[in-house]
Amino acid sequence: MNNTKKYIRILFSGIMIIILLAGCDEEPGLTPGSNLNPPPASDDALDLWIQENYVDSFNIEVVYSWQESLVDQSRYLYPPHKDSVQSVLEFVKALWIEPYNRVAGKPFVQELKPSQLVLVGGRNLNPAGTITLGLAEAGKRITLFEVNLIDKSDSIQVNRFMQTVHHEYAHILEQSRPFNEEVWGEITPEGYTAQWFNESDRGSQEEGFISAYARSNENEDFAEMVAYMLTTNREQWNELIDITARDTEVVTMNGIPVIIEGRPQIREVPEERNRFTRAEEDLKAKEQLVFSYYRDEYGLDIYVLQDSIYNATQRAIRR
Amino acid sequence: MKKIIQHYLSQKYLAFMFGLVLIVTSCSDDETTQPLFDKSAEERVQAEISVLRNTLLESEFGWVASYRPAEETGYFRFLFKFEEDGTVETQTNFDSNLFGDDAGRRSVSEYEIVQGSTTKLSFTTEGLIHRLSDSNFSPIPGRGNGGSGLKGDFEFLYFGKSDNGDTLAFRANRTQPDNNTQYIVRFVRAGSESENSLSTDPINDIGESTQKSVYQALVYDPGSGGEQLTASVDYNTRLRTLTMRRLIEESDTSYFEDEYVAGMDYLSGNRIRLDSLRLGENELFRDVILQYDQPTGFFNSVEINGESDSRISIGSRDKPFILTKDYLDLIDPAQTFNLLFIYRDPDIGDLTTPAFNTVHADYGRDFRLYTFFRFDSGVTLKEFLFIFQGATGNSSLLQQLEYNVDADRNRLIFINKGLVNGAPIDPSGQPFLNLLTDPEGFYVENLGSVTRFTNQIYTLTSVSNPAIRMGFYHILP
Repeated sequence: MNNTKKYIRILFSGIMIIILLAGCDEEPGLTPGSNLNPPPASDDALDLWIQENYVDSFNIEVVYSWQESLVDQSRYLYPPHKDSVQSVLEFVKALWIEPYNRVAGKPFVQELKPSQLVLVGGRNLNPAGTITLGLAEAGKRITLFEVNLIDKSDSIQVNRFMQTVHHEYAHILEQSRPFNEEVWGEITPEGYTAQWFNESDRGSQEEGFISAYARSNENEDFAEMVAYMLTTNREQWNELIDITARDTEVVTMNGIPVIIEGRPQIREVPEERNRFTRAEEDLKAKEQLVFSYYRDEYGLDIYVLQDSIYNATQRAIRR
Repeated sequence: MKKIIQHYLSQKYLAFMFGLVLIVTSCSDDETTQPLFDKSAEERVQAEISVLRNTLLESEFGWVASYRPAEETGYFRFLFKFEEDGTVETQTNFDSNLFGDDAGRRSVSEYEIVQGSTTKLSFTTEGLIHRLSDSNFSPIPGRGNGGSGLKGDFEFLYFGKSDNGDTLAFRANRTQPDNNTQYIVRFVRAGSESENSLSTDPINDIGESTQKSVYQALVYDPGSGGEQLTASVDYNTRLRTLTMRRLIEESDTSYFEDEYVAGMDYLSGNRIRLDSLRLGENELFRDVILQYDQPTGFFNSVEINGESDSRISIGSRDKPFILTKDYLDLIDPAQTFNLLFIYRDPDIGDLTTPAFNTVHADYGRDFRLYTFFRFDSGVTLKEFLFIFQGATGNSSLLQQLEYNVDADRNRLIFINKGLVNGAPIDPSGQPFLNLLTDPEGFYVENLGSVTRFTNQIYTLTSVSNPAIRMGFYHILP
């Protein structure tokens, strides 16, 4: 009797399931077509060049066409002029990616790269009057400003722009493998300030920082050291940090920032000499830490890299 | 068996079966239920984009927009011609006063129509419209406006078109940080003559008018014997604004009402449209069109609110509306250490009028002229210092001046007392020195702290030639 009950239960349950399924069998089909259509392949000459030279070669996406979500909307920025994009990207490739790969003897940048380069045409002038030259975000994206403003035949302008690229890439490197912030921070512990923009580069060098911006914190100090080392040759670098050779200073009048060229005042007081000596020693200590970091973490000789970039810069500007 | 069937047909089981039938029938194909949309979301988005794209493309001569980016600015005109290949040709009525002669007034760049909070027209590569959003060109005065450009945008949200299809309504995508406003921009279908509407003639007219005097007066005659109204007027040709302050004259005193800023829109035929004017406590007139009269140097109204007997005129006068004693702070050593003049200063360079160039040579972009008026010792003998840099070579001239005060006429007068260091004066500096030591002297005005710096800003205006005004930073002791 129990078995009969069981069979009848199963029978009824089966009938019900069939009815349930059958009741839904005429549901209309979904509208054909994907909601995630990929954009059609571009036949634009610049887009093809970027595809070949950045996407296919290095798996780096380049965004030059304005995308609201990638740029700080509270700033008054604008996209690059299309004619400026390729020449800047050629510089970036020749003076950043290729030297790193050449010196590493392997596709170094492909392995440790930002996945996205965002280009902005104009200057990013902050309300306080400082200028943001570039941004590195989460080790994945680098944003470069002033793409429209570079005169590609002017080595100073090209160096300034490339300084930004090397600065931001140094962040990508140190965000991937941290440098020893504790040891670094002991070299010039007193000089860091949130008011770095009130300082001059020259005055900061005389305090053991390679630039005014380097004084904002240890990470920026590290990135600035890398950027300055990789945009000078050995001779220029050594001259830059030869602080004790300095004997002039900027003249100010009544505290007003007026620089009068050709009227240097010579200060030979012993205290100044001691300060300059200490600054030079501090800069050399930081240089040594950068050298060790590149060698130990990535197997790169930064001086060979420095030479390689300098030679590439000379070739690029002559072109 | 019968018992079994009776068991399964019990009340409890029947209720269960009834519920199941209800569930099943709820899934049946009901032809009366229609899908809400006949296309997918993606298809509907693409359709919206196509509508706007086709609308922009269908106008043979393109679209004209008179765009006011922010409440601190006036209007900038654009003529856009959109092409199928994603490019847009832009023409503007920018002038050299804004972006220099090399700025150009025609560009070709790219645009896209994408879906944002609504359908959005985005100018995606750099063209002329992006000049309004350049942090490096920020002429709007006041703290907090550094790096804000002209607060312009180059992405516009589409809201629809007029019944005849000749006007498209957009809102700027960018929300203004100070008042949470998105400015409305109208694209009007262009005609074959629309290029001519991109006039910069009014900038020349304003320049010509103000070359007569920095003191510009607006006089409003309501007609029918109504009371005339007078106001001081200042043009800002970089922002394209006109600032008016109504003069209130009472028996024992005169003063200005709060300022009112009108946006200027340059029209063809030497005309200016002012978007609004406050000519009385409750009288706000909109879209006042003024015509320049070259012989008199006055702008005269064409029509106001449809009233033919009302008139507005704006033109020069030879002295300030209210003579101030602001010079008293300058000659008080407790109040003033010196005044600093920097030629072409990025913040207050506009206060120094073009007429100033007639009294000193302009050596080009690298030229710098710094001048210090030093009021520091409490005695009458003072000095000022020229510092030249750039094309002239590095040099400085220390010149001694004495000042007199003409208290009756509220003027500050400088007297030349010769060079301190005995060096011969650079001949190019002599006309400037002559201006400074003009026996008629200067009207002095303290504008207050009107820049991003805390310094008070002073102006000195030549009495002999009120077209010449210089702007100075005030330095505390």
